[in-house]
Amino acid sequence: MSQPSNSLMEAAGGGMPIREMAAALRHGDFTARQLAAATLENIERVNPRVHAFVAVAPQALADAERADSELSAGADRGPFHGIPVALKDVYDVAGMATTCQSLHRLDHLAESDSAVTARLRARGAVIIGKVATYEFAFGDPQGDQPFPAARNPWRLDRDPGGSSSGSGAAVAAGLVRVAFGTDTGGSIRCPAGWCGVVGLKPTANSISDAGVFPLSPSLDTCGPLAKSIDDASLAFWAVRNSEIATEEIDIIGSHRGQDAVPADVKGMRIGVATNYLDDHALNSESREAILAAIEILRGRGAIISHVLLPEYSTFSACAHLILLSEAFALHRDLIASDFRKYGTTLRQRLPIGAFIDDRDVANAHRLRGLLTDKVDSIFENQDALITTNALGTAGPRYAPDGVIPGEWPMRTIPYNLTGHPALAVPTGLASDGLPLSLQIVGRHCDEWTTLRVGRTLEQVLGFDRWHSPSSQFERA
Amino acid sequence: MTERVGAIEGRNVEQRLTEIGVRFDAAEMQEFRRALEDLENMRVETSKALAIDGSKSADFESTEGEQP
Repeated sequence: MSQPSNSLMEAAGGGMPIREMAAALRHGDFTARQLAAATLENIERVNPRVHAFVAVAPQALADAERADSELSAGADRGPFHGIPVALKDVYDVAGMATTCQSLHRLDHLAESDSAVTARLRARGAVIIGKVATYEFAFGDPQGDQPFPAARNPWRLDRDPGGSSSGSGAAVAAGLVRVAFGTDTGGSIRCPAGWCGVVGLKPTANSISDAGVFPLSPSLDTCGPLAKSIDDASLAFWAVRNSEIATEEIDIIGSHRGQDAVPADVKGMRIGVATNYLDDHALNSESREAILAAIEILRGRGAIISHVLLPEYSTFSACAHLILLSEAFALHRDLIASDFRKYGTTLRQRLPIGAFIDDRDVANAHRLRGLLTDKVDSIFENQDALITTNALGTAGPRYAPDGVIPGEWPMRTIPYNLTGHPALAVPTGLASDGLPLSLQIVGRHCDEWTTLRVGRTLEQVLGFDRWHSPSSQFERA
Repeated sequence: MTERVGAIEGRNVEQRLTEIGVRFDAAEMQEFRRALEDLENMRVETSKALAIDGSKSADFESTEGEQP
Protein backbone atom coordinates (compact mmCIF):
# COMPACT_ATOMS: atom_id res chain seq x y z
CA MET A 1 0.00 0.00 0.00
CA SER A 2 1.39 3.40 -0.95
CA GLN A 3 2.21 6.02 1.67
CA PRO A 4 -0.05 9.09 1.79
CA SER A 5 1.47 12.06 0.00
CA ASN A 6 2.83 14.99 1.97
CA SER A 7 0.12 17.24 0.62
CA LEU A 8 -2.58 14.82 1.76
CA MET A 9 -1.00 14.65 5.22
CA GLU A 10 -0.88 18.43 5.36
CA ALA A 11 -4.48 18.77 4.20
CA ALA A 12 -5.83 16.14 6.60
CA GLY A 13 -3.74 17.58 9.44
CA GLY A 14 -5.35 20.98 9.19
CA GLY A 15 -2.30 22.65 7.68
CA MET A 16 -3.71 23.46 4.25
CA PRO A 17 -6.20 26.32 3.67
CA ILE A 18 -9.48 25.42 2.00
CA ARG A 19 -8.58 27.26 -1.19
CA GLU A 20 -5.36 25.24 -1.49
CA MET A 21 -7.17 21.99 -0.73
CA ALA A 22 -9.68 22.85 -3.44
CA ALA A 23 -6.85 23.43 -5.92
CA ALA A 24 -5.09 20.22 -4.87
CA LEU A 25 -8.28 18.20 -5.36
CA ARG A 26 -8.72 19.59 -8.86
CA HIS A 27 -5.03 19.12 -9.66
CA GLY A 28 -5.28 15.46 -8.69
CA ASP A 29 -2.84 15.66 -5.75
CA PHE A 30 -5.33 13.63 -3.74
CA THR A 31 -9.00 12.72 -3.92
CA ALA A 32 -11.86 13.75 -1.67
CA ARG A 33 -12.13 10.13 -0.56
CA GLN A 34 -8.46 10.03 0.42
CA LEU A 35 -8.87 13.31 2.27
CA ALA A 36 -11.96 12.08 4.14
CA ALA A 37 -10.28 8.76 5.00
CA ALA A 38 -7.14 10.51 6.29
CA THR A 39 -9.28 12.92 8.30
CA LEU A 40 -11.19 10.02 9.87
CA GLU A 41 -7.90 8.32 10.75
CA ASN A 42 -6.68 11.51 12.43
CA ILE A 43 -9.93 11.79 14.38
CA GLU A 44 -9.59 8.18 15.52
CA ARG A 45 -6.05 8.83 16.73
CA VAL A 46 -6.41 12.30 18.26
CA ASN A 47 -9.96 12.24 19.59
CA PRO A 48 -9.41 9.91 22.57
CA ARG A 49 -7.31 12.70 24.10
CA VAL A 50 -9.11 15.81 22.84
CA HIS A 51 -12.74 14.56 22.80
CA ALA A 52 -13.69 17.08 20.12
CA PHE A 53 -15.90 14.66 18.17
CA VAL A 54 -18.90 12.85 19.60
CA ALA A 55 -19.60 10.94 16.36
CA VAL A 56 -18.20 10.58 12.88
CA ALA A 57 -20.62 10.54 9.97
CA PRO A 58 -21.17 7.00 8.70
CA GLN A 59 -21.77 8.27 5.19
CA ALA A 60 -18.65 10.46 5.03
CA LEU A 61 -16.63 8.22 2.73
CA ALA A 62 -19.58 7.65 0.40
CA ASP A 63 -20.19 11.41 0.27
CA ALA A 64 -16.52 11.95 -0.54
CA GLU A 65 -16.66 9.39 -3.35
CA ARG A 66 -19.67 11.20 -4.78
CA ALA A 67 -17.74 14.49 -4.60
CA ASP A 68 -14.91 12.85 -6.58
CA SER A 69 -17.32 11.52 -9.18
CA GLU A 70 -18.90 14.91 -9.64
CA LEU A 71 -15.55 16.65 -10.01
CA SER A 72 -14.46 14.03 -12.54
CA ALA A 73 -17.66 14.68 -14.47
CA GLY A 74 -17.02 18.43 -14.48
CA ALA A 75 -19.71 19.27 -11.92
CA ASP A 76 -17.77 21.69 -9.73
CA ARG A 77 -19.65 22.96 -6.69
CA GLY A 78 -17.02 25.49 -5.61
CA PRO A 79 -14.30 25.72 -2.96
CA PHE A 80 -16.00 23.43 -0.44
CA HIS A 81 -16.37 20.61 -2.94
CA GLY A 82 -14.81 17.56 -1.26
CA ILE A 83 -13.74 19.42 1.91
CA PRO A 84 -14.48 17.80 5.31
CA VAL A 85 -16.57 19.95 7.66
CA ALA A 86 -17.75 19.25 11.22
CA LEU A 87 -20.97 20.41 12.88
CA LYS A 88 -21.75 21.09 16.52
CA ASP A 89 -24.04 18.41 17.87
CA VAL A 90 -27.07 20.69 17.82
CA TYR A 91 -27.27 20.70 14.00
CA ASP A 92 -29.42 18.01 12.43
CA VAL A 93 -27.66 15.66 10.03
CA ALA A 94 -30.07 13.17 8.49
CA GLY A 95 -29.55 9.71 9.94
CA MET A 96 -27.41 10.88 12.86
CA ALA A 97 -28.44 11.62 16.43
CA THR A 98 -28.63 15.27 17.50
CA THR A 99 -27.87 14.65 21.14
CA CYS A 100 -27.20 18.21 22.30
CA GLN A 101 -24.92 16.45 24.85
CA SER A 102 -28.02 15.56 26.86
CA LEU A 103 -29.40 12.33 28.24
CA HIS A 104 -32.76 13.64 27.04
CA ARG A 105 -31.69 13.31 23.42
CA LEU A 106 -29.66 10.12 23.12
CA ASP A 107 -32.44 8.38 21.19
CA HIS A 108 -33.13 11.30 18.89
CA LEU A 109 -32.38 10.58 15.24
CA ALA A 110 -32.58 13.43 12.75
CA GLU A 111 -34.81 12.62 9.80
CA SER A 112 -33.51 15.46 7.67
CA ASP A 113 -30.61 17.86 7.41
CA SER A 114 -30.53 21.29 9.01
CA ALA A 115 -30.48 24.19 6.55
CA VAL A 116 -26.74 24.65 7.14
CA THR A 117 -26.06 20.95 6.62
CA ALA A 118 -28.07 21.02 3.39
CA ARG A 119 -26.29 24.12 2.11
CA LEU A 120 -22.90 22.62 2.88
CA ARG A 121 -23.87 19.47 0.99
CA ALA A 122 -25.10 21.58 -1.91
CA ARG A 123 -21.62 23.14 -1.99
CA GLY A 124 -20.09 19.67 -2.13
CA ALA A 125 -18.76 19.64 1.46
CA VAL A 126 -18.27 16.28 3.15
CA ILE A 127 -19.93 16.21 6.58
CA ILE A 128 -17.27 14.38 8.56
CA GLY A 129 -18.97 14.26 11.97
CA LYS A 130 -20.58 15.91 14.94
CA VAL A 131 -18.54 17.80 17.53
CA ALA A 132 -19.05 18.29 21.24
CA THR A 133 -21.10 20.94 22.97
CA TYR A 134 -22.21 21.75 26.48
CA GLU A 135 -25.62 20.32 27.36
CA PHE A 136 -28.22 22.04 25.15
CA ALA A 137 -25.51 24.65 24.43
CA PHE A 138 -26.26 26.06 27.88
CA GLY A 139 -24.67 23.79 30.45
CA ASP A 140 -21.10 23.46 31.56
CA PRO A 141 -18.56 20.74 30.78
CA GLN A 142 -19.41 18.75 33.87
CA GLY A 143 -19.04 15.02 34.21
CA ASP A 144 -22.73 14.11 34.35
CA GLN A 145 -23.40 14.27 30.61
CA PRO A 146 -23.37 11.56 27.97
CA PHE A 147 -20.03 12.32 26.32
CA PRO A 148 -16.68 13.39 27.77
CA ALA A 149 -16.17 17.15 27.67
CA ALA A 150 -13.87 18.39 24.90
CA ARG A 151 -10.37 19.44 25.96
CA ASN A 152 -8.29 22.36 24.84
CA PRO A 153 -5.67 21.15 22.30
CA TRP A 154 -3.25 23.80 23.58
CA ARG A 155 -3.31 22.27 27.05
CA LEU A 156 -5.39 19.24 27.75
CA ASP A 157 -6.00 20.28 31.35
CA ARG A 158 -7.80 23.40 30.09
CA ASP A 159 -11.34 23.93 28.86
CA PRO A 160 -11.65 24.80 25.16
CA GLY A 161 -14.50 27.19 25.99
CA GLY A 162 -18.07 26.74 24.98
CA SER A 163 -20.60 25.95 24.16
CA SER A 164 -19.14 25.21 20.71
CA SER A 165 -16.35 23.46 22.58
CA GLY A 166 -15.84 20.60 20.14
CA SER A 167 -15.82 22.99 17.18
CA GLY A 168 -12.96 25.02 18.67
CA ALA A 169 -11.08 21.91 19.76
CA ALA A 170 -11.48 20.17 16.39
CA VAL A 171 -10.09 23.14 14.46
CA ALA A 172 -7.27 23.81 16.94
CA ALA A 173 -6.30 20.13 16.91
CA GLY A 174 -5.99 20.26 13.12
CA LEU A 175 -8.80 17.75 12.53
CA VAL A 176 -10.80 20.06 10.26
CA ARG A 177 -10.29 23.56 8.88
CA VAL A 178 -13.91 24.54 9.57
CA ALA A 179 -16.46 23.46 12.16
CA PHE A 180 -19.83 25.13 12.57
CA GLY A 181 -21.02 26.25 15.96
CA THR A 182 -23.82 28.33 17.42
CA ASP A 183 -23.51 31.52 19.43
CA THR A 184 -26.15 32.75 21.88
CA GLY A 185 -23.90 34.70 24.23
CA GLY A 186 -20.45 34.01 22.82
CA SER A 187 -20.48 30.27 22.17
CA ILE A 188 -18.54 30.64 18.92
CA ARG A 189 -16.22 33.46 19.99
CA CYS A 190 -15.37 31.99 23.40
CA PRO A 191 -13.94 28.68 22.10
CA ALA A 192 -12.34 30.52 19.18
CA GLY A 193 -10.58 32.79 21.65
CA TRP A 194 -9.48 30.05 23.98
CA CYS A 195 -8.42 27.68 21.19
CA GLY A 196 -6.53 30.24 19.10
CA VAL A 197 -8.77 30.01 16.03
CA VAL A 198 -11.09 32.37 14.16
CA GLY A 199 -14.76 32.53 15.17
CA LEU A 200 -17.43 34.44 13.26
CA LYS A 201 -20.80 35.23 14.78
CA PRO A 202 -22.50 36.70 11.74
CA THR A 203 -25.31 39.24 11.67
CA ALA A 204 -28.47 37.96 13.35
CA ASN A 205 -30.59 35.85 10.99
CA SER A 206 -28.01 35.88 8.21
CA ILE A 207 -27.74 32.08 8.42
CA SER A 208 -30.84 29.93 8.74
CA ASP A 209 -31.16 28.10 12.06
CA ALA A 210 -33.73 25.63 10.71
CA GLY A 211 -32.88 22.19 12.01
CA VAL A 212 -30.63 23.52 14.77
CA PHE A 213 -31.75 22.86 18.34
CA PRO A 214 -32.40 26.32 19.78
CA LEU A 215 -31.33 27.80 23.09
CA SER A 216 -32.75 31.31 22.86
CA PRO A 217 -34.15 31.92 19.39
CA SER A 218 -33.91 35.70 19.44
CA LEU A 219 -30.21 35.52 20.38
CA ASP A 220 -29.03 32.33 18.66
CA THR A 221 -26.75 32.69 15.63
CA CYS A 222 -25.11 29.99 13.53
CA GLY A 223 -21.57 30.52 12.31
CA PRO A 224 -18.16 29.02 11.59
CA LEU A 225 -15.03 28.46 13.63
CA ALA A 226 -12.09 28.20 11.28
CA LYS A 227 -8.33 28.02 11.08
CA SER A 228 -7.98 31.19 9.03
CA ILE A 229 -9.91 34.30 8.09
CA ASP A 230 -10.25 33.12 4.51
CA ASP A 231 -11.61 29.74 5.61
CA ALA A 232 -14.14 31.49 7.87
CA SER A 233 -15.16 33.80 5.06
CA LEU A 234 -15.67 30.95 2.60
CA ALA A 235 -17.67 29.02 5.19
CA PHE A 236 -19.91 31.98 5.95
CA TRP A 237 -20.63 32.71 2.32
CA ALA A 238 -21.28 29.03 1.63
CA VAL A 239 -24.23 28.88 4.01
CA ARG A 240 -25.42 32.45 4.27
CA ASN A 241 -29.04 33.24 3.43
CA SER A 242 -29.25 34.53 -0.11
CA GLU A 243 -32.56 36.32 0.36
CA ILE A 244 -31.20 39.37 2.20
CA ALA A 245 -32.60 42.83 1.69
CA THR A 246 -31.36 45.11 -1.05
CA GLU A 247 -30.00 47.76 1.30
CA GLU A 248 -27.97 45.09 3.04
CA ILE A 249 -26.37 44.07 -0.23
CA ASP A 250 -25.44 47.71 -0.74
CA ILE A 251 -23.58 47.69 2.56
CA ILE A 252 -21.73 44.53 1.71
CA GLY A 253 -20.52 46.03 -1.56
CA SER A 254 -19.70 44.46 -4.84
CA HIS A 255 -17.39 41.64 -3.78
CA ARG A 256 -18.40 38.04 -4.27
CA GLY A 257 -18.46 35.53 -1.46
CA GLN A 258 -15.64 33.52 -2.91
CA ASP A 259 -13.25 36.47 -3.18
CA ALA A 260 -10.13 36.27 -1.02
CA VAL A 261 -10.35 38.62 1.95
CA PRO A 262 -7.84 41.45 1.42
CA ALA A 263 -5.45 42.53 4.20
CA ASP A 264 -6.46 46.10 3.65
CA VAL A 265 -7.53 48.64 6.25
CA LYS A 266 -6.04 51.76 4.69
CA GLY A 267 -8.37 54.65 5.43
CA MET A 268 -10.72 52.43 7.42
CA ARG A 269 -12.18 54.12 10.50
CA ILE A 270 -11.80 51.81 13.47
CA GLY A 271 -13.22 52.64 16.88
CA VAL A 272 -11.61 51.13 19.95
CA ALA A 273 -13.92 50.51 22.92
CA THR A 274 -11.60 52.08 25.44
CA ASN A 275 -13.82 51.49 28.44
CA TYR A 276 -13.75 47.74 27.71
CA LEU A 277 -9.95 47.80 27.59
CA ASP A 278 -10.05 49.40 31.05
CA ASP A 279 -12.18 46.52 32.39
CA HIS A 280 -10.69 45.50 35.75
CA ALA A 281 -11.35 41.85 34.89
CA LEU A 282 -9.27 41.99 31.70
CA ASN A 283 -6.00 40.09 31.97
CA SER A 284 -3.06 42.48 31.47
CA GLU A 285 -1.53 40.30 28.75
CA SER A 286 -4.84 40.32 26.86
CA ARG A 287 -4.91 44.10 27.08
CA GLU A 288 -1.33 44.47 25.88
CA ALA A 289 -1.96 42.14 22.95
CA ILE A 290 -5.04 44.14 21.91
CA LEU A 291 -3.11 47.40 22.11
CA ALA A 292 -0.36 45.85 19.97
CA ALA A 293 -2.97 44.73 17.43
CA ILE A 294 -4.36 48.26 17.29
CA GLU A 295 -0.88 49.55 16.50
CA ILE A 296 -0.64 47.04 13.65
CA LEU A 297 -3.88 48.39 12.21
CA ARG A 298 -2.77 51.99 12.67
CA GLY A 299 0.49 51.13 10.93
CA ARG A 300 -1.49 49.74 8.00
CA GLY A 301 -3.33 53.02 7.57
CA ALA A 302 -6.44 52.58 9.70
CA ILE A 303 -7.78 55.69 11.39
CA ILE A 304 -8.09 54.78 15.05
CA SER A 305 -10.56 56.56 17.33
CA HIS A 306 -11.69 56.16 20.87
CA VAL A 307 -15.32 55.20 21.53
CA LEU A 308 -17.25 54.35 24.65
CA LEU A 309 -19.73 51.50 24.73
CA PRO A 310 -22.56 51.10 27.24
CA GLU A 311 -21.52 49.17 30.32
CA TYR A 312 -21.14 45.44 29.85
CA SER A 313 -23.29 44.74 32.92
CA THR A 314 -26.23 46.46 31.20
CA PHE A 315 -25.90 44.35 28.07
CA SER A 316 -25.45 41.23 30.16
CA ALA A 317 -28.47 41.78 32.42
CA CYS A 318 -30.71 42.59 29.47
CA ALA A 319 -29.52 39.61 27.41
CA HIS A 320 -29.81 37.14 30.27
CA LEU A 321 -33.41 38.10 31.04
CA ILE A 322 -34.25 37.29 27.43
CA LEU A 323 -32.09 34.18 27.26
CA LEU A 324 -33.38 32.66 30.50
CA SER A 325 -37.02 33.30 29.64
CA GLU A 326 -36.71 31.88 26.13
CA ALA A 327 -34.73 28.85 27.30
CA PHE A 328 -37.33 28.05 29.95
CA ALA A 329 -40.14 28.32 27.42
CA LEU A 330 -38.37 25.83 25.14
CA HIS A 331 -37.64 23.36 27.93
CA ARG A 332 -40.82 23.71 29.96
CA ASP A 333 -42.32 20.39 28.87
CA LEU A 334 -39.11 18.44 29.40
CA ILE A 335 -38.65 20.02 32.81
CA ALA A 336 -42.15 18.93 33.77
CA SER A 337 -41.75 15.40 32.45
CA ASP A 338 -38.19 14.45 33.39
CA PHE A 339 -36.33 17.17 35.24
CA ARG A 340 -33.74 14.86 36.79
CA LYS A 341 -32.43 13.85 33.39
CA TYR A 342 -30.78 17.25 32.99
CA GLY A 343 -27.21 17.68 34.18
CA THR A 344 -26.44 19.55 37.37
CA THR A 345 -25.90 22.92 35.74
CA LEU A 346 -29.08 22.98 33.71
CA ARG A 347 -31.12 21.81 36.70
CA GLN A 348 -30.10 25.10 38.27
CA ARG A 349 -30.25 27.34 35.22
CA LEU A 350 -33.38 26.36 33.34
CA PRO A 351 -35.97 26.88 36.12
CA ILE A 352 -34.82 30.48 36.64
CA GLY A 353 -36.82 31.44 33.57
CA ALA A 354 -40.03 30.46 35.39
CA PHE A 355 -39.49 33.47 37.62
CA ILE A 356 -39.26 35.99 34.79
CA ASP A 357 -42.57 37.68 33.99
CA ASP A 358 -43.91 39.44 30.92
CA ARG A 359 -43.01 42.83 32.32
CA ASP A 360 -39.37 41.78 32.73
CA VAL A 361 -39.24 40.52 29.16
CA ALA A 362 -40.90 43.65 27.80
CA ASN A 363 -38.40 45.82 29.66
CA ALA A 364 -35.52 43.74 28.36
CA HIS A 365 -36.72 44.08 24.77
CA ARG A 366 -37.16 47.83 25.16
CA LEU A 367 -33.64 48.13 26.47
CA ARG A 368 -32.41 45.84 23.71
CA GLY A 369 -33.71 48.31 21.13
CA LEU A 370 -32.01 51.23 22.85
CA LEU A 371 -28.70 49.39 23.16
CA THR A 372 -28.86 48.39 19.50
CA ASP A 373 -29.41 52.03 18.54
CA LYS A 374 -26.38 53.01 20.58
CA VAL A 375 -24.11 50.50 18.91
CA ASP A 376 -25.57 51.47 15.52
CA SER A 377 -24.74 55.09 16.25
CA ILE A 378 -21.07 54.19 16.63
CA PHE A 379 -21.10 52.98 13.04
CA GLU A 380 -22.26 56.37 11.80
CA ASN A 381 -18.64 57.41 12.27
CA GLN A 382 -16.76 54.12 12.33
CA ASP A 383 -16.40 51.24 9.89
CA ALA A 384 -15.47 48.68 12.55
CA LEU A 385 -15.12 48.42 16.30
CA ILE A 386 -12.37 46.68 18.27
CA THR A 387 -13.26 45.38 21.70
CA THR A 388 -12.40 42.63 24.13
CA ASN A 389 -13.32 38.98 23.62
CA ALA A 390 -12.02 36.53 26.23
CA LEU A 391 -10.77 38.32 29.32
CA GLY A 392 -7.88 35.90 29.69
CA THR A 393 -6.61 32.53 28.56
CA ALA A 394 -8.48 29.23 28.79
CA GLY A 395 -9.70 28.29 32.21
CA PRO A 396 -9.14 24.94 33.94
CA ARG A 397 -11.28 21.99 33.02
CA TYR A 398 -14.22 21.49 35.32
CA ALA A 399 -13.98 18.75 37.87
CA PRO A 400 -17.07 16.53 37.86
CA ASP A 401 -18.24 18.27 41.00
CA GLY A 402 -16.53 21.52 40.09
CA VAL A 403 -17.68 24.94 41.12
CA ILE A 404 -19.02 27.16 38.36
CA PRO A 405 -17.01 30.36 38.14
CA GLY A 406 -19.03 33.41 39.16
CA GLU A 407 -18.14 35.70 36.29
CA TRP A 408 -18.39 34.71 32.65
CA PRO A 409 -14.91 35.53 31.36
CA MET A 410 -16.10 36.89 28.00
CA ARG A 411 -17.41 40.19 26.66
CA THR A 412 -19.34 38.71 23.78
CA ILE A 413 -23.05 38.84 24.57
CA PRO A 414 -23.60 42.52 23.60
CA TYR A 415 -23.63 41.60 19.91
CA ASN A 416 -26.06 38.72 20.33
CA LEU A 417 -28.37 41.31 21.79
CA THR A 418 -27.79 43.91 19.06
CA GLY A 419 -27.36 41.47 16.18
CA HIS A 420 -24.13 43.02 14.85
CA PRO A 421 -21.57 40.69 13.26
CA ALA A 422 -18.63 39.97 15.57
CA LEU A 423 -15.40 38.20 14.73
CA ALA A 424 -13.02 36.72 17.31
CA VAL A 425 -9.40 36.53 16.22
CA PRO A 426 -6.23 35.47 18.04
CA THR A 427 -3.80 38.20 19.09
CA GLY A 428 -0.90 36.17 20.44
CA LEU A 429 0.14 33.62 23.01
CA ALA A 430 0.28 34.50 26.70
CA SER A 431 3.10 33.58 29.07
CA ASP A 432 1.19 30.39 29.95
CA GLY A 433 1.42 29.37 26.28
CA LEU A 434 -2.29 29.78 25.67
CA PRO A 435 -4.01 31.93 23.02
CA LEU A 436 -5.27 35.48 23.54
CA SER A 437 -7.91 37.16 21.38
CA LEU A 438 -9.88 40.25 20.52
CA GLN A 439 -13.23 40.95 18.92
CA ILE A 440 -13.99 42.93 15.76
CA VAL A 441 -17.55 44.19 15.38
CA GLY A 442 -19.11 45.52 12.19
CA ARG A 443 -22.27 47.14 10.91
CA HIS A 444 -25.26 44.87 10.41
CA CYS A 445 -24.60 42.68 7.36
CA ASP A 446 -21.04 43.95 6.99
CA GLU A 447 -19.11 40.82 7.87
CA TRP A 448 -16.74 41.71 5.06
CA THR A 449 -15.21 44.69 6.89
CA THR A 450 -14.68 42.67 10.08
CA LEU A 451 -12.98 40.00 7.98
CA ARG A 452 -10.70 42.58 6.32
CA VAL A 453 -9.58 43.79 9.74
CA GLY A 454 -9.06 40.21 10.87
CA ARG A 455 -7.12 39.34 7.73
CA THR A 456 -4.82 42.34 8.24
CA LEU A 457 -3.98 41.12 11.74
CA GLU A 458 -3.60 37.55 10.51
CA GLN A 459 -1.10 38.61 7.85
CA VAL A 460 1.14 40.16 10.53
CA LEU A 461 0.54 37.79 13.45
CA GLY A 462 0.41 34.59 11.40
CA PHE A 463 -2.17 32.86 13.60
CA ASP A 464 -3.40 30.86 10.61
CA ARG A 465 -0.08 29.00 10.82
CA TRP A 466 -0.15 28.33 14.56
CA HIS A 467 -0.27 24.69 15.56
CA SER A 468 -1.46 23.66 18.98
CA PRO A 469 0.72 21.11 20.79
CA SER A 470 -1.89 18.41 20.09
CA SER A 471 -1.79 18.93 16.35
CA GLN A 472 2.02 19.26 16.27
CA PHE A 473 2.43 16.10 18.26
CA GLU A 474 0.28 14.13 15.90
CA ARG A 475 2.06 15.35 12.78
CA ALA A 476 5.58 14.85 14.17
CA MET B 1 -41.38 36.22 54.11
CA THR B 2 -42.67 36.89 50.65
CA GLU B 3 -40.29 37.05 47.75
CA ARG B 4 -40.38 39.40 44.82
CA VAL B 5 -39.74 37.02 42.00
CA GLY B 6 -41.39 38.39 38.93
CA ALA B 7 -44.62 36.70 37.95
CA ILE B 8 -45.00 35.07 41.31
CA GLU B 9 -44.58 38.13 43.44
CA GLY B 10 -46.02 37.42 46.87
CA ARG B 11 -46.03 33.64 46.43
CA ASN B 12 -43.26 31.40 47.46
CA VAL B 13 -40.48 29.93 45.42
CA GLU B 14 -41.18 26.32 46.32
CA GLN B 15 -44.76 26.66 45.12
CA ARG B 16 -43.69 27.98 41.74
CA LEU B 17 -41.08 25.26 41.40
CA THR B 18 -43.71 22.64 42.19
CA GLU B 19 -45.97 24.12 39.51
CA ILE B 20 -43.30 23.61 36.85
CA GLY B 21 -42.37 20.13 38.08
CA VAL B 22 -39.12 20.92 39.88
CA ARG B 23 -38.19 19.51 43.26
CA PHE B 24 -34.86 20.49 44.82
CA ASP B 25 -33.06 19.08 47.81
CA ALA B 26 -31.86 21.56 50.44
CA ALA B 27 -28.46 22.18 48.88
CA GLU B 28 -29.95 22.68 45.43
CA MET B 29 -32.56 25.05 46.83
CA GLN B 30 -29.88 27.10 48.53
CA GLU B 31 -27.98 27.43 45.27
CA PHE B 32 -31.16 28.24 43.38
CA ARG B 33 -32.01 31.05 45.77
CA ARG B 34 -28.64 32.59 44.97
CA ALA B 35 -29.51 32.40 41.29
CA LEU B 36 -32.78 34.20 42.02
CA GLU B 37 -30.82 36.96 43.72
CA ASP B 38 -28.77 37.29 40.52
CA LEU B 39 -32.02 37.46 38.59
CA GLU B 40 -33.24 40.28 40.79
CA ASN B 41 -29.99 42.13 40.11
CA MET B 42 -30.62 41.73 36.37
CA ARG B 43 -34.06 43.30 36.79
CA VAL B 44 -32.63 46.21 38.73
CA GLU B 45 -29.85 46.74 36.18
CA THR B 46 -32.34 46.67 33.31
CA SER B 47 -34.78 49.05 34.99
CA LYS B 48 -31.98 51.41 35.92
CA ALA B 49 -30.68 51.49 32.36
CA LEU B 50 -34.16 52.13 31.00
CA ALA B 51 -34.68 54.96 33.48
CA ILE B 52 -31.40 56.60 32.50
CA ASP B 53 -32.16 56.10 28.86
CA GLY B 54 -35.42 57.96 29.03
CA SER B 55 -33.39 61.11 28.63
CA LYS B 56 -30.49 60.09 26.40
CA SER B 57 -27.93 58.11 28.28
CA ALA B 58 -24.88 59.71 29.78
CA ASP B 59 -22.91 56.49 29.66
CA PHE B 60 -22.17 56.66 25.98
CA GLU B 61 -20.31 58.98 23.75
CA SER B 62 -18.04 58.69 20.77
CA THR B 63 -14.96 60.86 20.78
CA GLU B 64 -13.60 61.11 17.30
CA GLY B 65 -9.92 61.30 16.64
CA GLU B 66 -8.61 60.50 20.09
CA GLN B 67 -5.80 58.01 20.32
CA PRO B 68 -6.58 55.08 22.59
